[in-house]
Amino acid sequence: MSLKRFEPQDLIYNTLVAKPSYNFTIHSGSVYKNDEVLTDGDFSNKIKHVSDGDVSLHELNVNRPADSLVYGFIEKGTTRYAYRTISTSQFDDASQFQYGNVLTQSYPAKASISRIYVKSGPEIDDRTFANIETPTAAASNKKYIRALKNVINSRELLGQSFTYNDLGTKEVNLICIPGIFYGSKIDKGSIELNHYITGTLAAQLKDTNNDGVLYESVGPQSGSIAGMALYEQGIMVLTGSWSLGTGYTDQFFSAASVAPSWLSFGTGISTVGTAVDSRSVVASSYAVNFKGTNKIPTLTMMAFAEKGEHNFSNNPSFLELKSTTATTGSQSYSQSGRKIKNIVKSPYTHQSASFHNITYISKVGIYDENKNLIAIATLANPVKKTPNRDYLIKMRLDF
Amino acid sequence: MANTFFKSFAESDRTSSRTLLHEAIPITGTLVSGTYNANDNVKAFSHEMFKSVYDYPYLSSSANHIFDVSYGFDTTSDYYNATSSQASKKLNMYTQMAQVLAGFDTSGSVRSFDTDGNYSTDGDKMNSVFFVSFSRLLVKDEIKKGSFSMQLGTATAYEEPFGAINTITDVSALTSYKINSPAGEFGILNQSAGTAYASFNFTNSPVIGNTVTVIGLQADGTNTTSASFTVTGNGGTTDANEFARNGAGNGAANFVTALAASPIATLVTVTRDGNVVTITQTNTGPNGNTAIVSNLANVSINGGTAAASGTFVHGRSAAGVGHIYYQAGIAVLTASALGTTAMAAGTPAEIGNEETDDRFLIVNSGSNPINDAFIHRIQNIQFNNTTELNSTIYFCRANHNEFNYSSNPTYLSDSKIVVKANELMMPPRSYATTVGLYSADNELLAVAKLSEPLRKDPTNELTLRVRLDY
Repeated sequence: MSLKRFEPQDLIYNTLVAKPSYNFTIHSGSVYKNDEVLTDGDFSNKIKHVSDGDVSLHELNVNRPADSLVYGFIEKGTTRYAYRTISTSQFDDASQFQYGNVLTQSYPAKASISRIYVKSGPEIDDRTFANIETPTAAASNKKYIRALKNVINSRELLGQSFTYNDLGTKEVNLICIPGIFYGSKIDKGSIELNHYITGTLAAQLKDTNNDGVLYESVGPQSGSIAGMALYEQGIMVLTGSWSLGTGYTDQFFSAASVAPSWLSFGTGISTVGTAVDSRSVVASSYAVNFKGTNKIPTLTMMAFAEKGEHNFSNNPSFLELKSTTATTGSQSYSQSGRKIKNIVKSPYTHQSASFHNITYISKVGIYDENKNLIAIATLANPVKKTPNRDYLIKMRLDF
Repeated sequence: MANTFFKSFAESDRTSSRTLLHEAIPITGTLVSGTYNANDNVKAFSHEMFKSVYDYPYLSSSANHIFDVSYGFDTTSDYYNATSSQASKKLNMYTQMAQVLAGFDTSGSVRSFDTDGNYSTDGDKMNSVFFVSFSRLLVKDEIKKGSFSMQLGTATAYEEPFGAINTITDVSALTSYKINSPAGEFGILNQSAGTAYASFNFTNSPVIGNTVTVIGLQADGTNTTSASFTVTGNGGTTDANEFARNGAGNGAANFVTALAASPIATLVTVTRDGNVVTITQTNTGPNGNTAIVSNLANVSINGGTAAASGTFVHGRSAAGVGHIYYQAGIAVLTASALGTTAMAAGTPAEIGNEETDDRFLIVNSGSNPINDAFIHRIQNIQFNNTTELNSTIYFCRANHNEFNYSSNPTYLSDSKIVVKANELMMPPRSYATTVGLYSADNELLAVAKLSEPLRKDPTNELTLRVRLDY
């Protein structure tokens, strides 16, 4: 084995961009990811222990009895490490967790799309001396839309027509996509929100102009703006309040039936924050389609075995087997020489071919500057290397 | 973020810590030896060097690899025979695992696994062992010391292996683990003491005048007490030394009554299921494996021949039966852990199937049947894994006269500080939302976000504790 340094022209840095496509279907309170119905396990549960539409993040628990699930735990210590399900105030509360107590985290950790419905009303609490007797509180879930104020307004710089303005007081419907689905951002122009009524497409939203603005492409107000998409955050902000069905009403927000709109889009998706008091809605179904953007840094390395190089091996079988009795003297130690095994095959029987330097390259090792082996590339088949042959071995390392 | 505000950390502003995260890993035997996809969950290879166990049919992309099982012996084992099936493979397996886990002695020879981990002594070597290599997915950085336990079925009947259980643990390893292995730290696996038992199957009523003698082990673990019973006719008496041949279970119920009135009543526990009576010694230990002299017609002992004598089985002492290598995630178990019959003594071990005793398996079979037999007898495995989380904690101190201004574009409006609400006489004020950690070359390396902005003005000082895990 011999070491050879990569020259700058031997290394090529690239970024592969993958765009995984996702399709979420929502109907009657159930969410399905990419039309997948999860398989039942042998222990009265799903094999991945998550519901349809969820993704199990580590998949440690596969097809296990309910009382034999892997779970995580940690002792409360001075490093103050805790699972995210335990808030700082809970962690500090000695009546709940004392130092040395075990904090547990049930598995599987999972992710799925979620919905946040923000009612219209005051954006922030009004608590001043003027109304100290009758302070008013912000409407439910307002903190979620307030948190997006800077994000939405920063898009104004890109010349988009959708700004925060009075969004804080309006009725808003947020569809949230976890980052595990879309990677670094949702692919621009890939969003498609479909609203079906009794199986027929009644309305559709698309980010037609690749600028995040969601236009109604099918429906009663085709061409109107019904919301916006925050690509980097994986959030769709829906505000279109017009009716999407002719004469059709359902219990989207309470026992009282109302007409469907983009504000009721996604009824049946699990909600975050104050829940929506929707009832059984079976006539409406929804589809959330988008593509993610997954960037994969890639390093391509060209290992060049030139003529006259790499024609020797330290593999023990490279040399002929021979008793290696060493001779020692008072000031010397010498081993007897060994010959390189001649592996040249003669075309004739009972005849030994003349010796040629031949090696077979089976692996390429990648070393760092301190000569630590950090990666190995193995060839599908060893290649025959002779002094008058040269090879270029191309290797790719994905991060 | 005020990107013009840099402050260098002093040595006292920085400290390191290590946190140990754990996961509890239960491996119920139903995954591998029960009725659930047992065959599809276990992958065999044509080389037969080991078998791989998965938690789901291994052809599915959902399946996780759980552990591998392999068997090996060395040349000092009673089972070693150069002509036995796959002897060289079993020998190679033992040698390769031993050189990795046990290392070499001063002469350069591979050391044999030692029961108590003291390699300077001879005579307590494990020369016929099973290797259970757990997946790195489950072990993570290492197995938590003192958390490992394994229940193996040791009942004689292959079809009902869990009638007797040998519980093997690394109890007390937290403070007494060994460090003389090249593979890292290891603990001694100890089996629990076991009580001997025998089952009588009354397939039909015995004959009048037949006798049986049962010997109970006393509490000192050495002395015994015997009781003999004679069979009487239908409607005969049932007392301390005789029982009637009729009644429930072909006389089995009367036998139970007689045992309860006998001198060994306190030395044994008796249960009856139909015509099967199981007698279990109250006291543990190998001395409980006493002989049963019987000529009861139509009654077999431990599945033996009717009217023949038998013995109590499975009485055992607590003893070391293997090693658990914490960082390597490998358990090494001497084959005798599967039953009271010491394999080293050259008698049949209690793995295998009803037609084939296990000595036959080990000597004359490839490794696959041996590994199958072992997997079949796993009732439960439980351990906790450990992940080391190294952290550096930076104490970011904002003194009273620091960080009271921001270069955030929204900080100013018409050259006035927004958050001062145009009160010119108010002291400067800022709201810290983010801490950036920079390299010596002022390259942004990490960003820490506060859960809520903190007000900073000349009247207060902040210390923000930023932890960087890696």
